[in-house]
Amino acid sequence: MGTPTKEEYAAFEERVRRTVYVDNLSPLVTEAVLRTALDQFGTVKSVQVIPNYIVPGNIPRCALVEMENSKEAKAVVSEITQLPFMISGMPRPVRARPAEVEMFDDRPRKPDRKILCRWLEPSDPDFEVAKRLKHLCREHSRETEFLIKRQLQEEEKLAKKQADELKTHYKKHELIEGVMSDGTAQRLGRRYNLRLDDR
Amino acid sequence: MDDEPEFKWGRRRGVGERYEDIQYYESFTYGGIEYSLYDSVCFYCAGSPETYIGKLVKLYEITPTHEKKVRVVWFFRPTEIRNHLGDVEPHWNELLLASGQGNGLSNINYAEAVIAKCNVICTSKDRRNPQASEEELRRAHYVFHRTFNVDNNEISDKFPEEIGGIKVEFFFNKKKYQQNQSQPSLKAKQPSQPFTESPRSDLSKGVDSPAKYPKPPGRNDSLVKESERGTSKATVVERGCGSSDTANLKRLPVEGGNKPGIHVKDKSRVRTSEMISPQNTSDTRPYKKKMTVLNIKGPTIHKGGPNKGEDFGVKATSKTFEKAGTQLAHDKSAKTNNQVLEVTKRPDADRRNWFKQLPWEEKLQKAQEAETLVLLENLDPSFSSVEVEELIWHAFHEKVEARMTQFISTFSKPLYGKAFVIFKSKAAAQSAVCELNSKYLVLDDGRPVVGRYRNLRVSDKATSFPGHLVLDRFRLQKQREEMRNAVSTAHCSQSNTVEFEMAMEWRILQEKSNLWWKDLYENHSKSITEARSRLKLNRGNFVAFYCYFRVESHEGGL
Repeated sequence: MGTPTKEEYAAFEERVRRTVYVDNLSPLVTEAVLRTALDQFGTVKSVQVIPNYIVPGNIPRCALVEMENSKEAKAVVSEITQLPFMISGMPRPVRARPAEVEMFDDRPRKPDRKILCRWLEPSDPDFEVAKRLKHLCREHSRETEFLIKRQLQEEEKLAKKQADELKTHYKKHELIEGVMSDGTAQRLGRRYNLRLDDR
Repeated sequence: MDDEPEFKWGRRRGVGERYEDIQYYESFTYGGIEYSLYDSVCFYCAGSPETYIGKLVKLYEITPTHEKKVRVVWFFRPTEIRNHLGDVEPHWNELLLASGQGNGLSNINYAEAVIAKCNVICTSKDRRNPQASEEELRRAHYVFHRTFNVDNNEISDKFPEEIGGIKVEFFFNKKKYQQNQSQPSLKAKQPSQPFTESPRSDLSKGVDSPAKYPKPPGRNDSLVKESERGTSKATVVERGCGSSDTANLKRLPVEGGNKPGIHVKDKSRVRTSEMISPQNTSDTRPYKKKMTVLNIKGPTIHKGGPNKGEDFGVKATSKTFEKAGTQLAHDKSAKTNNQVLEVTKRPDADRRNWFKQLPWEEKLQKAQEAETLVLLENLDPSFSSVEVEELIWHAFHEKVEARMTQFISTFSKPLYGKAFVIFKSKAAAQSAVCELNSKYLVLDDGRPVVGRYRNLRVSDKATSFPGHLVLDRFRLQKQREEMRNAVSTAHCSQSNTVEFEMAMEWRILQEKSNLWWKDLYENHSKSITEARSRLKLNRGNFVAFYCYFRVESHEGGL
């Protein structure tokens, strides 16, 4: 009994195994970009950019990428984990990990699972505990939101720091290049009797 | 019953190519009115003040059973599709012609279900459309110049080549000679004041009635008067378009003579319902109704989807489902539930068939606007969307559409499952949230389900992304390149570059964030377990609604 569901679920689990969860994606990353980016590790079967309906703020995008088989999926994860892999920008690397059942919103029901529920009237002795649990749920979701906010702040901070660094590097680079190209370095070299050419 | 209106077929057109049992006709006369192919007609629609308007594109009889059928391509009243109007502001008497392929485009109905002719003029500037004269326009009950695509719900002023397999030319205004053809017959039937003879008087009435009083309060009086005066049929007919009460009056001039209006009305109504709907209360209603409901509420769950007319089995079942549904709402016994849960599976099947076209995101948006969107929290994260739908069905006896949210932004598994649930109506959503707050719905692992309104995140189109650095100088040029060539933008970093160094900094941050999420979730789960341990939950009180599922899972298996 329940075989169709079981088969369906088994097929779904197989799909989960060949799927990779990728995050830290820029909002500019589209399905096509992601597909092309990961095609080098195997054959991308489908890409689903996970829509964000709940978390406020601009959190990085994440996506589910279904590969041809679970071997390819593993390869993607290990490649991306070993070397920083960048899509559509640098230097922030993307992250990847094997997908999980809960990541799919179209997951089928688990076969033979029993769901039980009941209504608790305010007179019920458990009502207070349930109330506390509800309260916890709210609290936890607020904490989660706060942590997300903090994380975003951290990310911004790092990004800013790096941007400054990059600017400084670039300034130095430009300065050197300028000095080299307009002959100032040569003149100074001659003045101080230094050889400037590398040969 | 005794004075069943006369039905007569007009000229034959030929026999069906595939089915010899089908005889096509060019016209028919019913209740003294001659309806020809490509006429616009009104259909009575039970329970709605408005009639449905469509164009007859096929008239035929199934010879063995003598069933008289018409195929209709629908016009939409703007109110029927108001959710898809966007910033389109329709004219008061504007209709939109259905186009596309999907459900709601056309239906097959009993010929007897037609209640009146309706003068619909196309005002499109399309070159294929013979332009209507000003007088024709004034005489028109309705005008249309746009199409509504039932597939993607788009409104367009372009007309495709074909609609429902019928050349679009037939939907435009008739060429002059065609009009002349049909009018003499009118004259013959209605010698009193056909508008062809006295355009002036007719004009004044024609404009008078539909224009100024689409639903006049005292319309019955005026109607009766008009019919006594023997007004041209057209005037009475278009009253019929205005309201269902008066809809049946259209036969007044034919058989009523100058009987008191009310009397005739009642009579004719009885007859209509008997005549048209041996199987069902109304033939026209269920079909188009479905479409309408869909359009208004988007994700509403309506079963009995298959729409290709003739199959009454389907219709009958859809009816029973509806009945079962209503019954059920009041009946909590497991037995009926069992029966109904079969129904709950239906939405799924339906969704697969033709709701697919509405992406979930749009549905969410619409539901938010309609305030039917509720976010359920504290679900078991492993629940599937279907299970949530069933949970809601079980708890509230509401058919809803639900989807678990996919978790994002963290690498760790969330402890709380969340699902967006779209209720059928605002009231249903409100009462569900209210109920969830006043008494608690507890799952068997002790989770009380939390439900609340939650607005969707407004997605702003962010173009910058923290951590992606671009030197100002190269910014513009670079982005354009990226668009063109995606591969060049994805690469692994080499270890001897600045980029690599910076990437490592990000990696560190990512690792850190993993840790703090893990920490947070551990704390959470600790406090949850502690609180839950205090629950004394009497297991016997739990209701398993598993047993019903099995039935439907078989059904829905393939």
